[in-house]
Amino acid sequence: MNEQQLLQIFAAILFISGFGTITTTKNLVKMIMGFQVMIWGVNLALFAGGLVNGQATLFSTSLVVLSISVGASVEALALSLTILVFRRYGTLNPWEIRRLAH
Amino acid sequence: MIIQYAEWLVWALPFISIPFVLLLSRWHKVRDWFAAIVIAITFLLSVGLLLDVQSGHEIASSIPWLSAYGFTVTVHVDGLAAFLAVVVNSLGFLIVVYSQGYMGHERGLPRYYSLVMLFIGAMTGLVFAGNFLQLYIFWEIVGICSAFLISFWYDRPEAVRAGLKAFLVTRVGDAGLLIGFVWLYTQTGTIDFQKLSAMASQGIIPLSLLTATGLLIFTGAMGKSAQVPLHVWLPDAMEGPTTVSALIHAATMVNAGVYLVARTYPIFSLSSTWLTTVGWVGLISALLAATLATVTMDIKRVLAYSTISQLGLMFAALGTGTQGGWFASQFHLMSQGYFKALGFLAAGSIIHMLGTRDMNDMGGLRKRMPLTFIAFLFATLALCGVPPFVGFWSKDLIISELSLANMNVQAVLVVVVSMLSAYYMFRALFKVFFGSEGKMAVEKDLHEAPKVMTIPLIILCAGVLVLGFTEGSAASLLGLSAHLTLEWVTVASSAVAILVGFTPAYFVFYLARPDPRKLTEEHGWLASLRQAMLAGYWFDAVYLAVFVRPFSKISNAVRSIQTGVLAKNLWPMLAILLIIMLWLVLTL
Repeated sequence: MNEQQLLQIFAAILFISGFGTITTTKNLVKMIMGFQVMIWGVNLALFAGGLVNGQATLFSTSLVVLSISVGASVEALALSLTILVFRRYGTLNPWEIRRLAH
Repeated sequence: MIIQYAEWLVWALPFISIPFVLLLSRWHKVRDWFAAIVIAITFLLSVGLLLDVQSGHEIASSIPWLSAYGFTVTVHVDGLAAFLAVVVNSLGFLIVVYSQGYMGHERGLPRYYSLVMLFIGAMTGLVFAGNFLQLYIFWEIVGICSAFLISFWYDRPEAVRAGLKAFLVTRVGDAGLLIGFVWLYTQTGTIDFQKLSAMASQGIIPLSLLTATGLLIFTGAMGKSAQVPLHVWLPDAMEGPTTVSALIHAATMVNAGVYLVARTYPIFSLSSTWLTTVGWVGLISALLAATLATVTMDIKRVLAYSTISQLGLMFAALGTGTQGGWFASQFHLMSQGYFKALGFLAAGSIIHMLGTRDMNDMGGLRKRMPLTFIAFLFATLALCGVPPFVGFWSKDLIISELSLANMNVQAVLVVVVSMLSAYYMFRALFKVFFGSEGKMAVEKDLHEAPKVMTIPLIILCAGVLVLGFTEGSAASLLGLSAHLTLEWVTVASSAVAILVGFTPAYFVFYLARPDPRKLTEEHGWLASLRQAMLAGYWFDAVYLAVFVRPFSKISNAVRSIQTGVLAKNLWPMLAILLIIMLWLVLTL
């Protein structure tokens, strides 16, 4: 098992733990944190996939930087929506915010 | 042709004009007449194409598309295509003009007119299509338009149900069509009609393959043209506006199936199994639907069942396997289109003024709506095949072609169908226009429909009177070499059939001697037969028990997995991800 595979397995663990957070938490802020962990997993997988002979390439590094900046803006948007949701519903529990579905 | 690219414009123009209908929707009159003018232009273009084809040259132009697979977008205008395009666009134009009056006060008219234009354009594109894939695309557009238009009044649950039913039932046939032509493509490497028919006539395609794919493609035609057992959507489709019914029954939707069989005729008619199936499915549908039309009390349903029956006669004519039978089916398609449009539009103006479709609430309308009465009378006479109306020429042509092909059993059955059709049409005529005036007619102070609705009726009346005499020129247009003759035996037998059908309708529904209610009370078998017919021979009940109920049970069971909480819905996904992860770790 070389270091590339190790990194990829670690990326998968990050992704799944983020996903697990999203599905089990009852707090919207923690949900966003889980989402962010998933993005880290993806970034790591991107980085690991771009390794050639243990060296990072310019292409994969630039993709990771792009992904980090996109992730940051998505997080900002999600947090601002969370504030709106809290003002409107008075709760951050996603299991209770179901009025959109009805 | 003076106008270049007319063969493309004639179906692309309605497509292009749809956004303008939506843009013009602030000015109601302008929008409505804009739709009518566009269809008028396509009608003129199709007439131009017809004259072009008549003067002796077929139009074929194509542009490459997915050329890696050898496909092209081909517009091929021969006699058959031009003939049908004129039928579609002329009827479409009259129906759109009639809609100005009939739909005038409805909401959602931009949706209505854009769908109608898409419907007519797609049907014209369908008849001009030069290969199976192109035909299939237009075929599906026609299907979706009809479903949307049937459930035009989407706040009525039964209209939504009917639209969905039309969509699903025709989909069963469409699956057959898709499998059929893809199979043919994988074996022969082409989907072009002309190449395929050349290959079939040279004997390159094995007969078993032709039979199998031909039957699959015929399933598609059965779905669209509402043949037994896929006919159940058509009577329910009466929930839509009457103009839509007229469009579906006369100009567009149901003609697509007959056209498909006529178009693929040179390919598949080499297989006698295919011909026999087409003929008998048509005849059985014609008979069943004709009997169903004799009991229903809904004026539009009478016309709907008669459409199934007339389409069945067309398929029966196609089952002969001769050039004459092929022509008879297409001529009857034209004739059916005109008199059925007339029937529906006349029924529509009654429904528009009266607000009901039940024939029990009508009666005695002859004096209050004389023009509508004459229109419905013309439709009845044409449908029964009284000379010199167009139905006489086309129906008797079918009977003579059947007897020429030595299919006497089938010819006799067609005579029986025409007897039944005389009965149910005169029954409707007597119930609606004769007898004592219904309560609603007196209450509403009924009068004739506005001019914009009666003028299309007058034009259609003239049409059903004179179009029968175009038989010779239509035959030469469609490239028929054989000479057409009307035999005295057929004319006499169909005259007897009309009389035999007319007499009981006259006695029971005009003179009311014997009274129809007493008849069913006295004879138990008549009452039970009537029950069976009112239930539509239980086709719907069987489909409900065999397909619909089990399927909705399964969907309800699956529905309980969906809790409504997003997080819970994601748990199965998490479990699968964990399993994949575990598998990866273990294998590495």
